[in-house]
Amino acid sequence: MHSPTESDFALLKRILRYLRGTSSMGLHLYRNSNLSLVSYNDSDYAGCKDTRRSTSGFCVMLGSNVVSWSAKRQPTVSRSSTEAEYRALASTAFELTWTASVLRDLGITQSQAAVLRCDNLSAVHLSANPVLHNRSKHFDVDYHYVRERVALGVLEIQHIPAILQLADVFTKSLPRQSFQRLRDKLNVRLPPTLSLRGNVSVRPQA
Amino acid sequence: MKARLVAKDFNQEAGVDFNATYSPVVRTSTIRIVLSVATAKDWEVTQLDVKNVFLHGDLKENVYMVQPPGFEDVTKPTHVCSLKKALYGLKQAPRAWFDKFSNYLLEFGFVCSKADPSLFTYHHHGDTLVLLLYVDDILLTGSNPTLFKSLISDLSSRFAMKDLGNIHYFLGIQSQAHPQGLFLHQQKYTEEILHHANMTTCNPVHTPLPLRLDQVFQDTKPFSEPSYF
Repeated sequence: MHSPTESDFALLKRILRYLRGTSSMGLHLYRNSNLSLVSYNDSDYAGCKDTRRSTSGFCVMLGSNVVSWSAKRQPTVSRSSTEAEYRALASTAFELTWTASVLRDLGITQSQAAVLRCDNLSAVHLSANPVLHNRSKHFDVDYHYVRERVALGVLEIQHIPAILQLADVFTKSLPRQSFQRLRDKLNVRLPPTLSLRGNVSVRPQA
Repeated sequence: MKARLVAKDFNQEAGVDFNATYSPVVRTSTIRIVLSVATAKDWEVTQLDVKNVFLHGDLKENVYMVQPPGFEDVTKPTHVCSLKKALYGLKQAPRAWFDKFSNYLLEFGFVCSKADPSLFTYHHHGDTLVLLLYVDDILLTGSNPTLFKSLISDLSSRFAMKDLGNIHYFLGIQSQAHPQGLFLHQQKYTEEILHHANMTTCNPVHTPLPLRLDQVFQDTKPFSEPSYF
């Protein structure tokens, strides 16, 4: 890392303190899962305070099991939240295509289109309407990639209300309750023997 | 006591002593996809470990090495060794191993995945075998237990292998089977990090990030010990 600051170090220590409280938690892969692909996609517009670049976040689920995720600062600056969302959509669409090709190699073909869920309406509209707006010209490669996957019938974009958005956790700093709710929905839980107590999280010693 | 002969790779010259050194590395999503499919289909997942992995590779380049100290031929002390097989320490050793093993798999009938070169699949009369290769760690699963067993015995006859049984610790990820599926965690790794940072007794927090990130960034003073990062 280039020229870390005191606050960077404080943030790093906080992550380690979080790990200390959650080291026994892990990811569950469940047996009674179907093999269809669903992904959740989110972006945080101009979220990086140093560079004003946006953050993309997504998770890909194979049935009920989370198989891949990402929380990453976008490589270029976006000029609108729709643009940021669209860039995030494109990287998620790419990951879905890759996952489907791995599954195909394993002998599993997708009978339905992979579903990409996001909570930004204008991004959903942009992918459904074949109108290229002036304002969106500068991200047309991402735009065409997503449009093409949709037109081929291998990708379906669904709008979901923000409350059902699972990818929030990859782009934003959330309050404890939302964070723990989303973590649980992503199947990151305590080991099977301990979870007989229900969804009790590891309590930090006050 | 055990000892291993290691070649001095810092004396190797590109284009002369080695050409390609690229060898595929891990994409953890592939492991989770394979494990997820195996769990859903109720396939057994076995872990294998190759012994002295880098000694198996065949060298394409002419590589010469001075005679190992203590094992010099007294009658011809100025002679050098011409290497036929890879040695630990050679830059191309990982690549040579990968080529050797993947050639064996292709002969068996496996196909290398275009999406991830460490994934090999075999389809025959409706049966499937899946093999993941990460240097000396191998993960194997498949739909037909008989086919599965015959591949393991054939593998063991060609390469010195250790059958580690059901998957329990693969590439730093611990896994535990239970009636509802598979539980993957990294407790061991997390504890090592905490130990390394001398934070094994710190007070835990509920979330990894503070809620008001903009307030944290006000302190832009350069950190006093940058070597920590």
